[in-house]
Amino acid sequence: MTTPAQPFVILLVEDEMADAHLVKLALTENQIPAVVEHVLDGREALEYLRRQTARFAEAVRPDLILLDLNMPRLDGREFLAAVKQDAALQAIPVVALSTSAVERDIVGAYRLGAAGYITKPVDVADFITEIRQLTQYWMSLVRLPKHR
Amino acid sequence: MTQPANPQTAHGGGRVARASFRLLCRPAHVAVIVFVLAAALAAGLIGRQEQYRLREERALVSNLVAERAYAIQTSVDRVLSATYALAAMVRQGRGEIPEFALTAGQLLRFYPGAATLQLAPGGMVHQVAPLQGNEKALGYDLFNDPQRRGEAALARDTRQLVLAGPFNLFHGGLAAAGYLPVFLNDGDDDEAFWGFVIVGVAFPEVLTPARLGDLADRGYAYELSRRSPDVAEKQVISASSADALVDPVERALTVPNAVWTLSVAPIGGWSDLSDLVWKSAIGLLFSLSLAWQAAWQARLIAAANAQERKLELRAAQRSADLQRFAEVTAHHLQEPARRVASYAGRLRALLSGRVDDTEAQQSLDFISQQAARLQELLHDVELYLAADQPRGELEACRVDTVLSAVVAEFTERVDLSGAVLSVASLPDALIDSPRLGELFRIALDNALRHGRSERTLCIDIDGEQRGACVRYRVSDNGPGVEEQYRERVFRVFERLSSSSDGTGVGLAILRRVAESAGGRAWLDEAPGGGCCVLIELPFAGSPSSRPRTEQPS
Repeated sequence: MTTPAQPFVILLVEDEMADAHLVKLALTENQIPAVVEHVLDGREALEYLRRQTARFAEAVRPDLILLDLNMPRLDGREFLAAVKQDAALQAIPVVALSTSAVERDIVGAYRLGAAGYITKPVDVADFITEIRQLTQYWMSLVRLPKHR
Repeated sequence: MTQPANPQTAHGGGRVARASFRLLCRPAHVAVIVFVLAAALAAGLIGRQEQYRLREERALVSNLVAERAYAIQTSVDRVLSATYALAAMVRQGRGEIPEFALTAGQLLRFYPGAATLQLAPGGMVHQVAPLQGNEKALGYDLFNDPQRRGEAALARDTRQLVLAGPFNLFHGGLAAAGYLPVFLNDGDDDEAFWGFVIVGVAFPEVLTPARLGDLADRGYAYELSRRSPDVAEKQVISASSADALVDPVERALTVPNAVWTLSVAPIGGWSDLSDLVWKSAIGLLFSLSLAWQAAWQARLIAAANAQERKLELRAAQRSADLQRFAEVTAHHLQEPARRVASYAGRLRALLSGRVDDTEAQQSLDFISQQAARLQELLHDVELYLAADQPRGELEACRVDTVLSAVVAEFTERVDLSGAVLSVASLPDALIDSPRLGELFRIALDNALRHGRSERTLCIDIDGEQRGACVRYRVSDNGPGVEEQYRERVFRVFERLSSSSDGTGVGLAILRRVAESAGGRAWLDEAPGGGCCVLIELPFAGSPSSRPRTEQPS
């Protein structure tokens, strides 16, 4: 459970603006009180988490990371591996969002330490539903580390 | 229908054989092996040739020795035969030969090897011809000479001609004598020993017909020797040199009371050292040349092998690149396709009730349909590309468990189609469970999709163990597939009807899974005339015959 003083922060790692828009749309439509921090690839995401650049100097440690797997520079798999090898970051749950339903991609993501794997549905309404269920699960049902 | 070759069998053992061949083809190894073999072959050939040459040479020398020995024997016999003529005269003259000197002189002209003719009544030499130079022989008593006594007595007692000697003369040289005993009739039909007629054998004249000196000119050493009964040691009668002969060819001559032996051997021995050295050098050159050529060939083969390996690696790399490219392409195309479909759907929802334009709605529908179709195609391409990769540990799959799960997935479709599904207990295969399930999933989907006809659709799943393989059959009683299309349907995106749904990748995936697991897949006609999908996989080693169970859908 989060307190009002500490809003639920989702780090959305997605290079495609169209998909990022859908996630934000789903959160808005579901009236989910989460703060979405959007970065465009794995490298930016690591910079965000480690507050490595001036742009991210005030970055808030996210409660949940929604991660696209196919991105330029540092892709989702490499990012996931880096997060899970970093003792300071490895407790943050990472949910992969991907178009692929191929078994190998799913197994690969879990092996790298993903907390979940969602295949992006075609239907926007379905997608909105999935995002609602997902955020309800992570924001209300499970207990996440308090430390930021 | 012709069944495709089993890929597992076709590849069996080839890699091991190629590795052994590569190891053997190292130039240094090849050079040493070929040199040793060639040298052994050359040594063998030289050895055989030398043996043959020796045999030929010994045969030649043997003929030569036989010819010369015969000449010696003939010459000695001829000389000794003079005694028979003289004995006949003694008997004619009752112990006397008038004009002995004259008669003997005439006889000696016909016997070139005879040195003297003598009459020795009672064993004492009484007359000798020619007298000149042989006066000392007169009065010589054979029975009183310890050296000759034995031979004289032997001749008398055996009444046979005896050859005494050769023996060394006081004044040098050799001489021999033939003693022929003469018996005279004393008037009472008894014969009494009269004495001996003697022929002195001249050396070396008696050996002249044998032309022994000619042997030395031809490169041979010779030795004529005898062993007499009363003298144990060998006595050399004539020799080309004092040196002992090396492994000579020998021929025995039988002369009265003794055996003479003529021995001949090449002066330098039987081996032709210079010839052997020459041949060995040729053999060595031949072996070295062959080894060099073999090493060169091996180097070429090794270079070709290296090139082949490089090409194989490059081909494998290219194949992997292509596979990766195809996977990435399919995956990346999925995303825009999904987004097009998503936003088309979103647009339709937003415009719903606000825009009453049939064509606009229809256009949105087409966009959604085609985006969905593109997604479906790309999804199947991804499945096809991933089909040759195991999705878990290679294990002895409990096929019944996997099949039950697949059948459960299809329950709704089977029910809706009104089909009857019959599943037999199957032998286990060696493959990862997810892909085994995929095989049955595709085959069942194929039967449900294409097996429909006016009759109730019946789908049978059965199989059995066949040696090292298991064979599964998924048969239906539908219209079947014409023989000419049974191979074609395994191609990617191949569909037999434009009206049928599906992407036409299913059977291609099925075959790719089966072949990559060491098996094969093909179509045949089902017993009832429908289609039968046959899948063969490596056997995992469980009992093959179990009772068949009927499972109504």
